[in-house]
Amino acid sequence: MKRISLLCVLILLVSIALTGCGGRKPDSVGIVQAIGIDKANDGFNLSLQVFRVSSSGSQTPIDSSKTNVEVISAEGKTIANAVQLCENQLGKKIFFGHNQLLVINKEVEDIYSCLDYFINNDDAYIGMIVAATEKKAKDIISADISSGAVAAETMKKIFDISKKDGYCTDSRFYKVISNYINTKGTAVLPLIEKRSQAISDKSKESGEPAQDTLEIKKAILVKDSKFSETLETDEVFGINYFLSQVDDADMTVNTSYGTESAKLHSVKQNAEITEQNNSVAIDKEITVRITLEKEESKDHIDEIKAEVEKKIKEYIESACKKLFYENSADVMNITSLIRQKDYKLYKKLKDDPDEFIKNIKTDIKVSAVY
Amino acid sequence: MKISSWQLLILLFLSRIFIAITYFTLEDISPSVMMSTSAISVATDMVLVIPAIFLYKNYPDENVIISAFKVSKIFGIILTVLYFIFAVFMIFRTVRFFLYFFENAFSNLLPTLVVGVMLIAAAAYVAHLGIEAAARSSSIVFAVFILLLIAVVATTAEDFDITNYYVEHIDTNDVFGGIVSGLSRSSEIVVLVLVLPYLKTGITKSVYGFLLLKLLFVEMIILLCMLFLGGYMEAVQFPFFTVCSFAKAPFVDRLDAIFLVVWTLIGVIKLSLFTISLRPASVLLKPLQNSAVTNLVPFVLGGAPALYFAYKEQMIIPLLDNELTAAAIVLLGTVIPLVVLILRRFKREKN
Repeated sequence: MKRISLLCVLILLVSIALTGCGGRKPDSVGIVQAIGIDKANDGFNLSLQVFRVSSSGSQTPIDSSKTNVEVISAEGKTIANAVQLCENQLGKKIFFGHNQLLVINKEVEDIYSCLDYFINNDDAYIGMIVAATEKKAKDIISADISSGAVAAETMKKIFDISKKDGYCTDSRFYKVISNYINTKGTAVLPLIEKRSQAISDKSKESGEPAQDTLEIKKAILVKDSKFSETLETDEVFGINYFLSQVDDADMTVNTSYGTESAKLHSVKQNAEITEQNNSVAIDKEITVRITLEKEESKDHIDEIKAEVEKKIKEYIESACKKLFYENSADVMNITSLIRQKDYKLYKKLKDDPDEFIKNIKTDIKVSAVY
Repeated sequence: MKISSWQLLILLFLSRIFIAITYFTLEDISPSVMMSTSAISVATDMVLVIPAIFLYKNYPDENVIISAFKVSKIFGIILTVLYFIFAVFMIFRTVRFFLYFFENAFSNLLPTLVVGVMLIAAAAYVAHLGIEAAARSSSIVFAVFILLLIAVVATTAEDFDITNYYVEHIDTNDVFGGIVSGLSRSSEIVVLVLVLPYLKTGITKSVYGFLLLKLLFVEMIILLCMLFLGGYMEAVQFPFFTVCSFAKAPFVDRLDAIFLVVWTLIGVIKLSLFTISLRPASVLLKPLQNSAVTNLVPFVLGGAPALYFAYKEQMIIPLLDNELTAAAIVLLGTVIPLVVLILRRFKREKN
C-alpha cells in the first residue's frame, strides 16, 4: 500500500508539473484576445489586442466597467516576423490560446499565408472567429466597446448572436480551414463593420463620446487564397438556410392580414446527389420551424408558412447564383456531400472542382412547419 | 506476483493507445482508409498472437525466453539479448516520441530535457515496484482516460458535421500500408510473449479483449476527429489533441491540459512495461539478476539517446515507424514464440 501511494504521488507530481503554466508566469505572457491583420508596404501589419491585468483608473485588477486590454502593432514581412516584433514591444511572450477573433483586411492578398501561421501554432485556439473587414483591421480590434471586461469577448458574442440570426456564417477557424482544404481554396468569411453611436439619449445630450458597435450583415468570398466578391445579406441568409445553421432568425413577411414577423429555426435538411449528363444535380429539402408572437388562425399560419418558404427559397437561389454560377465557389459543403454520397463521382470530379460547381443543378424544396 | 486477465488487458490497451491518441500519419491516407486499415490490422494481430496464446496454454509459468532456456542455454541467451535490445529500442522510441509531442504541443512550458528525465525516473520507479503496481495504476489511468474521452465527446458533439464522414474504397497498397503501419505500433504483441508468467488465468480473454478494445477506441478516436475537424485534420499533426484543445469542460477551459496529464500517465505505464516484461527471464542470467540492472539499464540505454535527439531537435519518429519495426515485432512476437513452441515439442518427444 505504501508503495502504491508513493507511486501515485510520483506520477501525480510529474503530471502536475506538466499541466500548469510552469514555465510562464502570467505577467510574462501577453494573452492575446483579438488579432487584426492589415496589408503593409512590405508584408503585414499585425495588431494584437492583449489582455491587461489592471485597467487604467481601476482599483481592482479586473474592472468590468473598463476594457482591460491594450492594442499593440508591428509590421513584418511574415506573420511570424510581426509576432516577434510585437513580443519585443511588449517584452512578453505572446500566447494565442485564448484568442477569440482574427480580423483580416480585405486588401491582404494571400489569406492562407496569414492563416497558416495559426495552423502551425499549437497554442492557437481553433475555435476563434475569422472575419474580414473593408476598413482597417486594427480599428476593428481597437473598437471601444464598453460592455464586458475584455472587448474581444463582447465581439465574439456579437458573432455568436449574428450567427444564430443568420447574418453571419460559421467562420470558426477550423471550419474555415476545413472548407478551404476540402474545396481546394474556397471559404467564406463574415464582413465586419464598425459603427459609432451614442449609448443613450442622455449621453447624447451630455456630449459623452460615442461608443463603438460592430455590425455583421455581409460576407466575403475567399477564392484561391484571395478575397473575391462581397456577398449581400440575402446571400448570407441563403448560405445559412442551405446549411441549416439558422437558430433564431427573424423574418418579416407580407400577408393578406398585413406585415407579420416570425421567428425561424432550422430543423433538418436532406440532400440527394445525382449525376446528370456530366453534371451534378442536387435535390435539397430544408425544413424550418416557425414561431409566431401570438396565436393565429390556421389560414393565417398557412399563408405565413407559404411566404416564409418562398422567401427562404429566394435567399438560397440568390446564394447559389452568386456562388455556384458566378464564382464557381463551394462554401455550402457540396464537395463533402458528394464525397459522402457517391465516392466514385467525387473521385471523378475532385480534380476540377470549379467546373462541376459551375454546372451544378439545384432543386431546392423548403418546408416550413409551425 | 500475478495479475488478472482484466489487468493485463488494460495494461496492453494503455500501451497501445499511447500512440493512437496523438500521432497518426495522414500523408496520402484519408481517415476513412485509416478506419478500414485499422480494422484489418487488428484482424492481423488476432492471428499473430496465436503462438503467445499456445505458449501460455502449454507453459503457463514461462515466457518465450524461459521456454527458450529450456530448449538450450545458448538459445535462451540469444533471445534474452534480442528482447533486451527490443525493449531498449522501444524505450528510446517512446521517450523520443513523448518529447517530440511535448516540444511541439507545449513548447516553452518546461525544458524538454527536464520533462524527459522526469518521465524516465517515474517509469523506472514504476518498473521497480513491479507489475502489480503498474497494473493497479493502469486501472486508475484507464478510468481517467475514459472520463477524458467522455468529456471530449460530450463537449464537441454539437459541432460534429456528419458530411465530414465518408467511406473510401481501399486498394491493395492501402491494405499493405495499413497492416505495416498498424504492426509497427503494436509492440504489445512482443510485450505479451514476455509478461505471460505474470498472468493468473484467462489469456484468450486478455488478448482478444485487448484487441477488440483497441479496435473500438482507435476507430472511435479517428471518427471523432473526422466528424469534428473534417478537412482540418489534414492540416494538423496531432488531431485528437487538437480536438481536446477546443473542448471546454465546466471545470477546465481547455481539455488539452487534462490530455497532457492522462497522456503522461499512459507514457509512464507504457515505458515501465518494457522493463517489467524482461524481469521473469532475468533470474536465469547472472548479470540480470540484480534488479537495478534490469530496471535501470534499459532506461539509460534507451532514454539517453532519446534525450540527446530531443536536445538536438532531430525528428526521427518517421524513421522508427516503418517496415523494419513491423518486421521486428512479427519476428519477436510471433515467429520466435512459434519456433520455441515447436522446439519444446521436439525436445519433449525426444525425451
